Amino acid sequence: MAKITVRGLCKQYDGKVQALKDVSFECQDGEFFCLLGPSGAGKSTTIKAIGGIEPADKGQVLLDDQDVTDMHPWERDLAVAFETYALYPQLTVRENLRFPLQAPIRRDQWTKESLETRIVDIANMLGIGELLDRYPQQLSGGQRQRVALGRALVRKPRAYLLDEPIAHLDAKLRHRMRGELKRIQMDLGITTVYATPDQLEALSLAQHMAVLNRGRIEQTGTPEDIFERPANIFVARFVGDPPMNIVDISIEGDTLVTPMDSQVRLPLTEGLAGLLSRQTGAKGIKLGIRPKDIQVLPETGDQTLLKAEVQQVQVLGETSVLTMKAGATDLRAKLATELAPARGANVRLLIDTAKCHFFDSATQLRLEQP
Amino acid sequence: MKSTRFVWSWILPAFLLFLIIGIIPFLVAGSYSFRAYSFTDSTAKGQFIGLNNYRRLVVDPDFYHSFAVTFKYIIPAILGQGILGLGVALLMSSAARRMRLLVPIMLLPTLLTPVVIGLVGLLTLNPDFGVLGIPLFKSGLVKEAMLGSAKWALPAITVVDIWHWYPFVAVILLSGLLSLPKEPYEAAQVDGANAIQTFLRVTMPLLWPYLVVALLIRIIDAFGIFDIIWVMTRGGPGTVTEAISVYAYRNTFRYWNLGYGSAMVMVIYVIMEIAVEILYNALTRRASAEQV
Repeated sequence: MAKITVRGLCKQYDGKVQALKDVSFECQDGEFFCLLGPSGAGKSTTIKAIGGIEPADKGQVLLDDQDVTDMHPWERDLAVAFETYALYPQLTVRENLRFPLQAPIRRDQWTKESLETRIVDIANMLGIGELLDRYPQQLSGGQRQRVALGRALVRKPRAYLLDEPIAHLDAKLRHRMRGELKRIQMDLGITTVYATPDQLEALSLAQHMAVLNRGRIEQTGTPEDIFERPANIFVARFVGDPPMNIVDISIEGDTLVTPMDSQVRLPLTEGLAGLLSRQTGAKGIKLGIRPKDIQVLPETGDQTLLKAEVQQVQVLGETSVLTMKAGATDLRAKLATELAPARGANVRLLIDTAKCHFFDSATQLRLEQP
Repeated sequence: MKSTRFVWSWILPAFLLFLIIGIIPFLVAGSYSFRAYSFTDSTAKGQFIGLNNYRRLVVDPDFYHSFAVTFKYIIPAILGQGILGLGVALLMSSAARRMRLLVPIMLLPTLLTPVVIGLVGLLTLNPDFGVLGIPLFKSGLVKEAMLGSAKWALPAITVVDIWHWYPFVAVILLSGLLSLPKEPYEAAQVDGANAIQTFLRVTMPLLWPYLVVALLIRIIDAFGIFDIIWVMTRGGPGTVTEAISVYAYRNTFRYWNLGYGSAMVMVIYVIMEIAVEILYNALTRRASAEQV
């Protein structure tokens, strides 16, 4: 069990590709911490740097405030589940799971019986109990991934580093494993750093998370922080599905004008008007609104509301996603399927400016409401 | 039909070549082995004598002796090449990329013909002016001329052969080592495996197929060792270094007994066929067990 601190990690591959640029974050003892980002963002590189497998060029890794930057991987006592599985091809599943428990530095921690029981427990929990005597080549991708995860989980290390550990499982199993992982982590209370490109996974698992993009940390915080107060446009659009709608706007007095219809003015609260009017001199302001926050009303002829035409309806079971055209702008809204209008219908949109996010067009940064 | 003919038209040149230099001589030798055919005996003009050549072979003590010599050479030679080759390959793979410029230099012995290798061995081990011969003789380690000694002649040939072929094994293993996936090594680091565990549980299993190929090629080739022995000792002193191919050569091209020599070649062929089959199965058993 340990607190993990990462300070100013930088890493270059082949002297060209900058994989990490000054990455810093802190993961509290016993915490489930997610690294969220698109592929190529630097998640695996960060995991490998923490594990000591591929040391960073600059920066520090601390475990419980002790600098381990120059320590060997085995001295750090961390368990890693690799995205590429990295199973030992000539060992059976059982032997793969046994391998980390037989390391010289851990030989005294396990008796022969406790070791075998542990292997069988973990294998059953991961649903690979039947496969213990098979070789990795005889397993499907999803099964191999569970073996890789199992090889990390059999140990009771200071922290787990899991690199997209359930990415290759089918949807149903992934959903179950997500619950299992959360439960294991809660039961054992072992610090976990978890890399994933799936924002839903990160939001549902993490106590704290960091959003990575192109080797940089865009934002760190609780899932609520990230979802409710995205620090910039990248985070705003990456977290949440479908992505947040972003449109350029201008301010006129205490109202807001959108490009969708210049006749429709959206009222602003006093605080918002003050905040935004200070920005009008700048390059401009972008408004962001989540699809779930757009209210879609039937056409009533009400001129104070935005007019739009439904172009496409995507039914996702209980909810549906509408793609609409308002003026020349594409907007997406998400609402309960039974309330969804038909394709081609004319609708009116109610946008509550209190639920909107505002960003500086030039810096892409969030304009914080007071 | 047309496609079959098309395929044959491409295979034909190679097949013809194989026919002329492989299959026809083999069949001719097979036919000779059932005949009395000797240039030095005017009564043996190629008449059919059934299994007589083979009968003679079965009770020929020199034939069994030459077999024993062959194995006394092959086993240490292959072990030596395997171990030395593996060691050098491991060194090279962990060394800096610039060090790999040394690979062609290391390969030099393998690039030379066996006759030259034999001559180099002959000169190196000469007790009067050989680079190794002088110190070995002066230090009293070897009290007679090495290649004239019943005790040292075969080990000397074996060492020269190891020197000739270990780079071949090393290069195959080096290319294998450089192509191994690096993820299992990262996992082993995290899992806390020490160097020996990593070598035995990760490197060796992954490298095994390369080792099998390299050593099989060496075993097949070593069975027919001739040039080095012929140049260094001609099978002597006495028949101490008379390996099977040297004995077959002596019978065929020194005593000119083509019938008897051919019978010998047939027996060697059958034994090699069986030996390679057994070895191949034994060496690939591990790999095939995982494929089931």
